Amino acid sequence: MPRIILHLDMNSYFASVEQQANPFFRNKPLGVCAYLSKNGCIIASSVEAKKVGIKTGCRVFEAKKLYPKVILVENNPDKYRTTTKKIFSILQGYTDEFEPYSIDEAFLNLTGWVKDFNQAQSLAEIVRSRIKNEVGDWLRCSIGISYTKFLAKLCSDLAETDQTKIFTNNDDLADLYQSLKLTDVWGIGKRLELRLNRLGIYTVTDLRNYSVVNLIQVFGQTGYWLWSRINGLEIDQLSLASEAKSIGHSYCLPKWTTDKQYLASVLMKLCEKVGKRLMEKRLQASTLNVYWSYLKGGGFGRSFKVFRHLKYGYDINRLAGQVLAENFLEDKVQMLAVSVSGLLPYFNQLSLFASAQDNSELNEALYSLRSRFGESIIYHGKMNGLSSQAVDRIGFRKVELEGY
Amino acid sequence: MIIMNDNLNEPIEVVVSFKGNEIVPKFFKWRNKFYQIAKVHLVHTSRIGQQLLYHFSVSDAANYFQLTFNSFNLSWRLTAIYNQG
Repeated sequence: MPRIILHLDMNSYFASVEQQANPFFRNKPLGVCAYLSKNGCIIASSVEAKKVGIKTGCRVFEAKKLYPKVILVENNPDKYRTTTKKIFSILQGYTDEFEPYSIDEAFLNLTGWVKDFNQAQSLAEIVRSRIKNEVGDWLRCSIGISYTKFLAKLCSDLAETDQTKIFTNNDDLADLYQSLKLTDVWGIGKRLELRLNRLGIYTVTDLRNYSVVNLIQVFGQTGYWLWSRINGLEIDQLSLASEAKSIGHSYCLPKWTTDKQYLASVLMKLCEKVGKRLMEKRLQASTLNVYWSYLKGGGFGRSFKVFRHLKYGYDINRLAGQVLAENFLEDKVQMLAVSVSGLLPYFNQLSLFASAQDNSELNEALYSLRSRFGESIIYHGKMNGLSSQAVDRIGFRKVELEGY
Repeated sequence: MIIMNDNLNEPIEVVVSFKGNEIVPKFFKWRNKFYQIAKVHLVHTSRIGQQLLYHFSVSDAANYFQLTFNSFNLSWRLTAIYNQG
């Protein structure tokens, strides 16, 4: 029996959810923004907004120039997460192999749960109908069905809005790839495209026909994976349990600056957010990564292992703050990021070194207070005035949803 | 022209029905005026610490409202209103 993989991708998701919530926003160009300030970035635009040229990445002032009556709303992560949970709970009823890929995408392995691709297609329509009836009638999704994860995702990318595309025959790969650019397929971005171009590979068809031995020589394992996926070989399994390898937060600053005092406050807030997630998951980390990017391009980053594992925001900030303090800023900073990796289950190993500070009781108390009464109940004085900055955001890839 | 206000936090009185495992707001009273809810478009939740808030995105014939129910202190608030002026 062939493998049957379904990939679901919600269309213009954040914007659609906002239009679902407020019927006055429907059929109108709408952009969901990180911030509503002039330089705020549009992170999702409605189908109608895309038609007038307002796309993801557009700035607020650019969007208003393109279409002065555009509706702009600030993003609301709780709204999108709640809606996603409802959608995913529908999907989970159809298979025991379900992978939430991002806030608006998921894979289902239907092998053994449906008889054939026709039944899978019928199931896709049932799922679509249930999402409209049970979650929101304005929500639309593209669905791809095929025999590999890669091809299922490609199908959903190629499907029209609110439609299903099925691909079942390896002999038809040439037709499928006919008009595709390299960057149209999952896993190939601009950088990899340039490297492939240097090998004389300019299209997906070129890649499909290229020697796998040469690809492995140039790209190693990645070359084999690329070639296999393009040639319809299944090498991907659904990731059912997502164990985080790292925890981090980044923030595009609303004001680009070299003011280290301001940057230190924002960095502290990011570190506290990372610390909170470590505590929620009862983890500690052995590696710290700090990065900032400059307005002119480029950036600065430091990554290092720590002697005493990081458990709390305070400890993370102590080290991250040192990196900021000790390094020269070449230009105005536009983005700050901090993350921890080398994650281990939390354990409270006492230190042999008497002089080592241990704020664990204080940090546990702070965490309990914030869990009970909210983040704003108590915070470091340096973060005063930053309540509207570095707020809750949804990451672009794997997301943490309660229960998944 | 669309008039939006999503910085509200005004107390309201709400009449709801319990349908299966759903709460469906039917009417609410705000500033001494009654509003009949035509449709509930979306319900989402958020948290402030341990307080779980339910946000109901609803509309009548002419306006959109967001009604928020705080399950900790059992209060209802009007937290957003949009109308086409």
